[in-house]
Amino acid sequence: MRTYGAKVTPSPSTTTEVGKRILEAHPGTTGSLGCAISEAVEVATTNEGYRYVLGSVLNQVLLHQSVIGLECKTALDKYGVKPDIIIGCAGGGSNLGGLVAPFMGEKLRGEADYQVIAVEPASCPSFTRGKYLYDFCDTGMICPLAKMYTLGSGFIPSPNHAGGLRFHGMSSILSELYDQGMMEARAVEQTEVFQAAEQFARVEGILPAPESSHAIKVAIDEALKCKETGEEKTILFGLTGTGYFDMVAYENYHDGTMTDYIPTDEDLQVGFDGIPKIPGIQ
Amino acid sequence: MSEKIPYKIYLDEKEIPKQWYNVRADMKKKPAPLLNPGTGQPMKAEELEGVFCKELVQQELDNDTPYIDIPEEIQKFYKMYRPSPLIRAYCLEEKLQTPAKIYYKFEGNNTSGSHKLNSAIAQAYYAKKQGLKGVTTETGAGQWGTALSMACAYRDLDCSV
Repeated sequence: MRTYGAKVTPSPSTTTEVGKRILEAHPGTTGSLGCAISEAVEVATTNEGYRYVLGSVLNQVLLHQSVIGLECKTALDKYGVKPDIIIGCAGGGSNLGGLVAPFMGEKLRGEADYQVIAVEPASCPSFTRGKYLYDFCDTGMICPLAKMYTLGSGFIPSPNHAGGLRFHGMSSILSELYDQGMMEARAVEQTEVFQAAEQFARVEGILPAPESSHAIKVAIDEALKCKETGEEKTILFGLTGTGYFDMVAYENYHDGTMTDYIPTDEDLQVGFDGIPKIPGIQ
Repeated sequence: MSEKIPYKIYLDEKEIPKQWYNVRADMKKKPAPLLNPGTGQPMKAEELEGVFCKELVQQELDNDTPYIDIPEEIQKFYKMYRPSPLIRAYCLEEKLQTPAKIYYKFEGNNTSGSHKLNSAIAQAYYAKKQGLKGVTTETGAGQWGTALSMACAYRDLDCSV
């Protein structure tokens, strides 16, 4: 990031008011995206000529990411291929939302049907165990409220959670589509994700990002189901990126020190308790 | 049939999309609007403009326009690393001994190592167009922060992660 001239501050930091508040309430916390969002928004809104930008979750981001799905569709159409199953990892939803966009459009217009699967970490299970309610997008509760599948803005994934996909909520677009039954979701544990990553890397020659490997894991599961049933299904998944930002996680996996932590219902309740009550709405 | 499909399907540069697709336009029941936490009312464009730049606020609130033109400059930037390959995972299929046909879209061939650059350049473009000095954001694993840093360097904007 600094190679490209950016200024980088680890969150939670003591350079913002909200960062100080979070550190006071949770001394020694490893932080979360929710904390960092609060701090970044504070810096943007207190400095003239600055605005905040977000890499996922928002409708505008899913719009920009539609180039992924549009290119897929053009390429597949050239060869007359129609996927049966479309799989993408989901943290805030930018990759999945972009990948499925044109296919979901056909499905919504009743022109075609696809099985769409969102894959999320069992350690941050917004879709599979979250609640579909209005919630803050950030821990500091200074952003607008979004209706989404959420674990509560105070939810912080356990420290052994590797890679991205650590946001407590989910894109409002994907949340609504999930609620309408237009897509399904699965939660997977990280050691099995890294097993899938290793298997993939060895035969396809790409070291996948941990996030992308969630999609690989479910794509392999579905391909193995086809092996049992003999069905020749066409599976499309999103390989969002490479794993070179996450060499520590790969090292932990190979050293055998990587663990799985699935939050208990009690753990999740702490996050749910922080979801705001809005008169007349929820 | 399947023998005809190459390991990698590369589109021509001319086939990079010239418009983004807004799936909300085809949703009968729209995603719920953002609410102002103080009033419990839907956020107005003016309220959002304090946090986000103007054209991005319009895109955020637009539930109806199916296709939105991608500005020329962003199209030019996309050509630096797009189109991304669609790969037929013949090797994985063979390893798994599955009759399934597996394809994956590989978005890792750029400096951020991920798909994040697709939106980073768009957000940096609109921020610069509005005459802003810079932008702030956060990053988890680092891909988004790197993507935005690169897009800001390209558009000559300050970037604070």
